[in-house]
Amino acid sequence: MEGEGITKGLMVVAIIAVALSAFVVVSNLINVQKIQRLAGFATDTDIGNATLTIQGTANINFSRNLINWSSGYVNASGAPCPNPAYAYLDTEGNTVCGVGWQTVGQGLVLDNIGNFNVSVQLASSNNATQFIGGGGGTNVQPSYKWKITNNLTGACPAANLTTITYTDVNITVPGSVVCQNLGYQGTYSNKLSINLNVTIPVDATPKTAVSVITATATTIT
Amino acid sequence: MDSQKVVVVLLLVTIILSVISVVLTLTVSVPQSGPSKLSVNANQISNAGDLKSVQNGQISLGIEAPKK
Repeated sequence: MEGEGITKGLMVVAIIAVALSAFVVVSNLINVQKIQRLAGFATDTDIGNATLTIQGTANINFSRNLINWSSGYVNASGAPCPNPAYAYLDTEGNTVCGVGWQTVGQGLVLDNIGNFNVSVQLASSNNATQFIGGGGGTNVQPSYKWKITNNLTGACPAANLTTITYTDVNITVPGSVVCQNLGYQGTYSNKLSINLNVTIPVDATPKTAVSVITATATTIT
Repeated sequence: MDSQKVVVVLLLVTIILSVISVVLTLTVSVPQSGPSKLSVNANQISNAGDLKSVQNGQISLGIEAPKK
């Protein structure tokens, strides 16, 4: 009798264990089905489309960012220099009627290092009067001009280059559009040259003058 | 008798483990709502890069008084 009792007890315990195990199995199966739906488990009748859009990133850099003519003065000793005297300096290797100034053979160079074509605007921190000064009386007026061309062929299509001859700098931020479609690195040419010239009247006030050229690039949409 | 006790102990261990499994299974949080299909929002995965870039260059010029 005692043996039968133990056996019955074992059976009850075993039944409970089987029932709990069965519940666990069913519960896990249900959860697995839910997870499959959430994870987009594909079947042979499902079709999915994913669209990826990559926006352009504007990123420019002055690979040549400093022009320094150093210090000098106007040659006022007469012919062949004009009277009233003035000096002319540019970034294409020309120094006329100036003494002491360094000859500069290259202008600023602006690179489009982003991943999209951009339009480029330029603004100067000061104009000719503010940067150079002078020009009183019969003296020639000071001038401060820029010219924007391709540093690498095809960087900006010719039709999109708007300042290919020397033009007075613009001090209104964000400035003048000088290239409406500058290419980017990795596809084709991506560099612009910004050449500058200055005319310094003999009566310009002695000083160390600094001008900041700000380039703003905007992605073309 | 000894073997029967061992069986009882093993069965009890099985029950305990099963209970733990049930608790763990029920504890796992499975969202009961949400999208039933996989969807991709282009705005979320696009590279929202800067649309403008600004850089400066500098021009320096020293002007001295003309020498007589």
